Amino acid sequence: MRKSEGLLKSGQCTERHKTIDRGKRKTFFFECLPKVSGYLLLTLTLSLFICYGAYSQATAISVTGRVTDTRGESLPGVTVRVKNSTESTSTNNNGIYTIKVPSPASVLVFAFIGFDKVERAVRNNTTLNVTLQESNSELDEVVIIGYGSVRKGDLTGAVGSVKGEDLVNNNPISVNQGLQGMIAGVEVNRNDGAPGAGISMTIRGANSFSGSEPLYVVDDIPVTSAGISGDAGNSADDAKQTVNPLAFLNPQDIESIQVLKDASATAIYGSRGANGVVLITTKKGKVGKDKVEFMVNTGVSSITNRLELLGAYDYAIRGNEARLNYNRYEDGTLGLLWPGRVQIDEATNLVSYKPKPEDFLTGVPSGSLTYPEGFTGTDWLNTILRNAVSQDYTLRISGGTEKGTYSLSGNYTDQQGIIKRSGYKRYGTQLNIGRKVSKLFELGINTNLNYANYQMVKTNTVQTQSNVMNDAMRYAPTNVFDDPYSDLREEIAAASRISNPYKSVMNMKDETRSVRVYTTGFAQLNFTPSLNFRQRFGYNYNSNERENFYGRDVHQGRPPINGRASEGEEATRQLTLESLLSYNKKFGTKHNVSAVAVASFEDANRKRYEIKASGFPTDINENFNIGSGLVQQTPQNRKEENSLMSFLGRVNYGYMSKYLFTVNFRRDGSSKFSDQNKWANFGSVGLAWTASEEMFIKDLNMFSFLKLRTSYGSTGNQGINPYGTKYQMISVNAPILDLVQSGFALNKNNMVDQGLKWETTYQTDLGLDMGFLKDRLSVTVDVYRKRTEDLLQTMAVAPTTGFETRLTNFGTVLNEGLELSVYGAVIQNPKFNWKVNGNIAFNRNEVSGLQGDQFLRLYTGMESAMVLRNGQPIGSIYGMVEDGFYDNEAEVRADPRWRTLPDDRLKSKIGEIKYVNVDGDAEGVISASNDRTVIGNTTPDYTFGLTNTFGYKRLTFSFFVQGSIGNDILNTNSLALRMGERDNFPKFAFDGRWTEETAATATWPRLTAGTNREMFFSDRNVEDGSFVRLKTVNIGYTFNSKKLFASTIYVYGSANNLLTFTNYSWYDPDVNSFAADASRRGVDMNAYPNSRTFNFGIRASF
Amino acid sequence: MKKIINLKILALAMVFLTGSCEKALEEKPYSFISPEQMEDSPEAMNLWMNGVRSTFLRDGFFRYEVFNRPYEMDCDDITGNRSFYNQTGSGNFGNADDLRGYWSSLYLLIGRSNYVIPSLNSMSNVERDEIDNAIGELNFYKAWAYFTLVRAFGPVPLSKTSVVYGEPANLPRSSVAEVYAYIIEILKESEAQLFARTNAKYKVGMISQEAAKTMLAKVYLNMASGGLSGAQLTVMGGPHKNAAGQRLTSIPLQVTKDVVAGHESFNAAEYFRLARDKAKEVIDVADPGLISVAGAKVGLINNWNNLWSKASRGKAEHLWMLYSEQGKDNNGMVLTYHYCGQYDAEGRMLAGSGPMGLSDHWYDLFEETDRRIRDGVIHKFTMNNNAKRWYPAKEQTPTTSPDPETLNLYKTKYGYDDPSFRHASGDQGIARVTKYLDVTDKTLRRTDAPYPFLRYAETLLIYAEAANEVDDITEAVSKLNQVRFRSEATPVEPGDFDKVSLRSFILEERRRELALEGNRPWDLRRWGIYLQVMNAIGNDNNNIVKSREQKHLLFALPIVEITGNTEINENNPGW
Repeated sequence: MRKSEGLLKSGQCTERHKTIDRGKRKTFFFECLPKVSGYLLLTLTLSLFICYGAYSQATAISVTGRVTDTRGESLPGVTVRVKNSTESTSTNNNGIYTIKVPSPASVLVFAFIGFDKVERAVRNNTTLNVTLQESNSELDEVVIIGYGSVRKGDLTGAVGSVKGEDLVNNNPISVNQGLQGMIAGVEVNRNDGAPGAGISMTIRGANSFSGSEPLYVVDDIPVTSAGISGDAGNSADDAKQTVNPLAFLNPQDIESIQVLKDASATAIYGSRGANGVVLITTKKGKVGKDKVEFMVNTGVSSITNRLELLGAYDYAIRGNEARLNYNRYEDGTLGLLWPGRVQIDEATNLVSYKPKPEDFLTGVPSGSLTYPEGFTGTDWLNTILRNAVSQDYTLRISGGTEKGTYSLSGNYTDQQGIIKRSGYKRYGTQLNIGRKVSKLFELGINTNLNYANYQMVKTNTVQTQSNVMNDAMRYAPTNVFDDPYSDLREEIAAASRISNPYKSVMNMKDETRSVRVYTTGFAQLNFTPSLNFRQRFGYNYNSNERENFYGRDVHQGRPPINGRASEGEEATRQLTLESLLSYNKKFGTKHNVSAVAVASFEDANRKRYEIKASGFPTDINENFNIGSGLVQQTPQNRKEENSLMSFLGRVNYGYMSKYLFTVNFRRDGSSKFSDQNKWANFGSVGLAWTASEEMFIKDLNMFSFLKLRTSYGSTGNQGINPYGTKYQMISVNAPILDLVQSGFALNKNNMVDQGLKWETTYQTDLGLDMGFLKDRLSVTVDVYRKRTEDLLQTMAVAPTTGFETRLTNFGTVLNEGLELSVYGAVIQNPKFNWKVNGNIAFNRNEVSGLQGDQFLRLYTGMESAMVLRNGQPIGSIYGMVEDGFYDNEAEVRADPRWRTLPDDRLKSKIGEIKYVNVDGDAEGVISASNDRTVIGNTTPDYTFGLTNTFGYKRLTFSFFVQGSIGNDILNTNSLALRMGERDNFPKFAFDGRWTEETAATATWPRLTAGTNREMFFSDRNVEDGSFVRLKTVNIGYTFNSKKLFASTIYVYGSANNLLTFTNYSWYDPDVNSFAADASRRGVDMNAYPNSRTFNFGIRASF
Repeated sequence: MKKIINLKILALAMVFLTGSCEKALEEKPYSFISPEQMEDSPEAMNLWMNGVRSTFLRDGFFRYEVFNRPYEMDCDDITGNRSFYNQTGSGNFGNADDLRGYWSSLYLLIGRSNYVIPSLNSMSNVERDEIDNAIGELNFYKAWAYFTLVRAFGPVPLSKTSVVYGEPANLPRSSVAEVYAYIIEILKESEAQLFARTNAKYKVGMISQEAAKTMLAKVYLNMASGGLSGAQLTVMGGPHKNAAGQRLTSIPLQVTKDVVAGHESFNAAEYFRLARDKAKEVIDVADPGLISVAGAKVGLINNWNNLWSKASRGKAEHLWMLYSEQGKDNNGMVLTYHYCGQYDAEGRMLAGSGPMGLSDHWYDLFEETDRRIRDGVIHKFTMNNNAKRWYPAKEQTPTTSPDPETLNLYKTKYGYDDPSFRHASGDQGIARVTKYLDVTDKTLRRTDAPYPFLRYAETLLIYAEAANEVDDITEAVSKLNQVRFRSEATPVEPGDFDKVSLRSFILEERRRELALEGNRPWDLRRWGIYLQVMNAIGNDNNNIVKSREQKHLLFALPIVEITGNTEINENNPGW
């Protein structure tokens, strides 16, 4: 056959290519290129003839009939095929089909997704009505894999799937949020609890330091997203607030999600497949009647866990105790902070009654100028929290005929945050159109237009910046809510970067407007039923525009600053072009071959700008007239560009669906590397044996399905910023006398490594798919071993080099794991059913091949809180180890650390933390340079998710439990607890403070008014972050009556985050301040607290 | 739609058919340039130079308000709000982030200078003496950076060229003597390379030969005083308060100096002589009288206020100043905020601003008519809560409402004319200097106040100190009196002193003259009297811990160096 000759040619091209030695490979490619394209054109022309020939067959008998489900409803879109022939059709809107069969001996095959396949012999019938049964088995489902699709039963790779309807059951606002706990080996972390905040995902353990986020592919095209620019009040590099890259997708628009995990599945994505690939397919119209669907969800959220802080009484007691201790142990000046007498108030300069602690119990007596009568304190956390209301509406109209389908949906989401003036709004449309113009030609386009508005409050910032969560914790409860002297008090507090949390929230503005245009499309030429050419394109535009204003009432903008404003925008544009030639053919009854060859080109650029000013004449204009600010900061902008070119191919071969074989190859060229390392090759081999097709297994009568899979292959990572191999002269101005002059200086950020190259992951996977009892119970087990070499990492270099970091390749990470997924229809009864869907994943991770320890910076002042060390996992926390407290002078004297301390100062160490002398030096020196060790690990031992679904008649009830066990959290918030005289803190620290009486049980050092306490980063700041959470409880009822105006109405009520079991002391253990950065996972930095939500919703279809 | 798709196919096919993969994968920079794109011209040389100069205003130097904390705060005289002093200010070096910025910024300055020198040397379109002058400035920066490092950390790695040119990324620490030898080597080069102030090509405001000579004299002096053994000094100091918290006046402390670690091999007498001679070279070309600022020639400016006026910046007495751009996050310094306070539109001082002041003990070092406290200290100020304050308490009657007679006395003497101004107490009761106050806009946190790294007055004091040590008391006193005369302090007589008392007096004069210009911590250290003086205080008036131990004689290396440098595996002793 001529077609197969064509394919052979392409195979030769690939073969030849493989044998060519490394040096010649590149030149070969350029020679090969015109050949590839010439080949494409040739095939194109040839195929035109072939396919016209293919449709001129004559037929004998015409068979017609109606296909229904068990309830007697028509099933449109069912594929009806003549067995062992290419002849096929599908049912129309009324479930009616007509097909011509060659002879009465012919057999018709009726296939429809989600239903058991039925085969019927034609014999002498001209009418064949068929009833299809809904299947338990998912094996016949067609799943999308990269650059193609395959029957689930024929997969050789490890692929996890989630259906759209399962996704929306947990009421997620975003798609990636909805995946939490759903798929074995897929770990989803919320960055924090802010509406619309970023979410990060790790598949099968972290294996890269330059970001372990998987590649997201929506409707066949990879997604890139813009970050957000800085704000007026803080420097850009310390702003950790993130927005979700997948927020533009409405979960209601999702048809299915496939997560590609092993090399057999991901190698087709070559240089970007190393972290796994998430393929997201949006809903297309279905052949059949036009369908109108309406979904509405409303909810009320409140904080899941409130940190208990000191009330005014305890706070005042603490202030006095701190002063007394200071005098007693450190010879500090005595003077009670809360004396209960008339004195000059330090903030207001008024002579006024300063209360004693007890006054806050009984109410401050009258006559105080600075406190209202009866004042008992302010709960500042309460002043910024609220019960937040959310609403989510989706309307979809879809339908189609054999000629084409359409789906149009609109979505409006308004999610209030539990902190006042924070929230997220989304307006989106998804328009998917597919059209079969002729048997030869079809095309489709999927367009997502999305506008989102993030209203943010300052959370998730490093500890050295002001932040409302920190403010709410530390702002004194003795301050009056509507204090007329608030400004003066705040200025004193502002020295420690604390401000009135209520004012901060109410008088600052931080809005990000995100615009997204995401268009993917294709045109396809079907040369024959088995050979087609598809040209894909994708255009992806994302702009995040951020506006920021601090008015005169907040300390960042208070006179004489007179308001501070900034505007900035970051935008990415990405164009993807892909040409695919696909071939799919069954030879005889036994051999099944499918192959695809692709050329792909991607070009992306990123632009950002930022303008800032302060000193405004008025607050009225906010950030809308930056030019009116007297103090203008230098405007900043930047443009970056990168491109990726790839050639790839895959061949699947199946023998009787029993032995399955997949081979992948991809060659990628990236602009990010220097000429010597621009190109790299990736590939994989996958094998599967469907043992249940073997007679000896069938004879066991135990398995309804049994498949053994294995794969090996390589994938890469190039997740670095452009220009990593270039020294950069950056513009820097320098004032000389009164004149500011231009200058150029070498960027200190990167000590360039010219030999920078691709990071490569080699993965072996062994999987077993088992089905029992007609697939009522199915179990999938996978074990894998992933070895990532030449890690791309930014290593800290000695400051003596004049550089801070070096982007280079070194080190190896090994991930080994076990994944187990179980699906069981435990009870299947027409009236009552119970389904269980669970997964659990174990992953071990180890770093090797480093020349020495590599340290990871959290923020200024936390330069090396985490370590990469040979033999230790990624996410190792590095710090001091504590050994209780010094309870008396003798104990201080006994410690060689204080041997040179004069006798009269020994007492100053009583009640202070004792650190373990890890290096054991005789002088007892305690130093961060020699006495730190690994004190924790943020990687969980295992994560799991379990969904139970019960159906009783038309009532459904489900609950979803999810958990993460064995992971530590690096709680930077507790670093703020220095037990001083001011700044509020949690009650547990107060209750655990060291005093002479509580010395035996103390958990925190003594209170002091002194400021030179030395507290190291230690195991105190590392906590067990394990949690088990009742994530969703859902109860719903389906009305299904023709009498109603709608054909089905599903009404439900649900609760999210109802219960959480954890020992974590702070707000929520599901926290991840460094977003997608896998090496610094599990850090809590003033995270926006998580919320508990009660929802009510309706899904109706007409 | 179809049309667009076809166009894309066409575009893709074009890419393939032309085989232009190489081009498609080229990395094009948009927002920076590559070093090769720097030209060979006087303008390009200026761009290179400004790139290095900009380093002072960034990150660990002055942008994050870091540099002057280790540089200034670890000494007896400075005081203020104690929460500002919790790191280097109270001896917590082990955990101090300030020290990371300090170390890294100095090495960034060195690294950038090293990187630029060969590029300047290879220029052919710039006159040779212009190139030399520029390299002289870079050598000056390098020498100062190493001088600042070695005084603070002891032995430090010597990076003499750039890692970009193949220097190893991991350098071991060189001994104190080796570091000083290198400092002297490059300062001598610098001295020969830089234009003198009188050279027609000298640009006002820039570093001149005189600055290099003074820096060299300062280095010699440092080596000499550190190496001198067994010498006696009298320092005014002692506890700031008694057990009841009442303020105490200073007492003379008789101390015997220690030899500074690493300075044992230095011949003190020889280096004092070198210091004197080098300072003399500058004095010989300087204007012997008091000058107004118009002239570019080196010399003392005629009075204290003119010295710190905007018009004097970078001229005459100011041998090296670091300039600032007001309001800018990148280029503005916070010196006014730190040392003088920040003010609102009504001229009221913001609470919490001005945390770096001087103690009563320092104030007591002066005669009451000395311009350095009469004009040099902020006496009368209003806080933004309208509290009216006067500093110091001793210049005001003890009661809040003085009788008319006393009021009149203080009015004529000190300008204290309003009984509603109560004396400042607590951490507001500190002497804030006026050095950083003549700025364009005092309401800004970042103002245009420059940092006075080196002044001719110090050249004279270096000379005086060195001359005394080589037994020329008369010469020493004459130069000392030049400095005192400008501030209307009573001249002193050679007959009033012996070697020890003059040594002590000159050190005290440095305390008076150069207060809060980054000298006192280093004077204490180089004279080997740091522990003696600090421990005599204990906790100061504002409860800042001044007690120190042996380990405090050297700063702790920042952890980033120890973890990032394979040649350095341990910290300074005790850290």
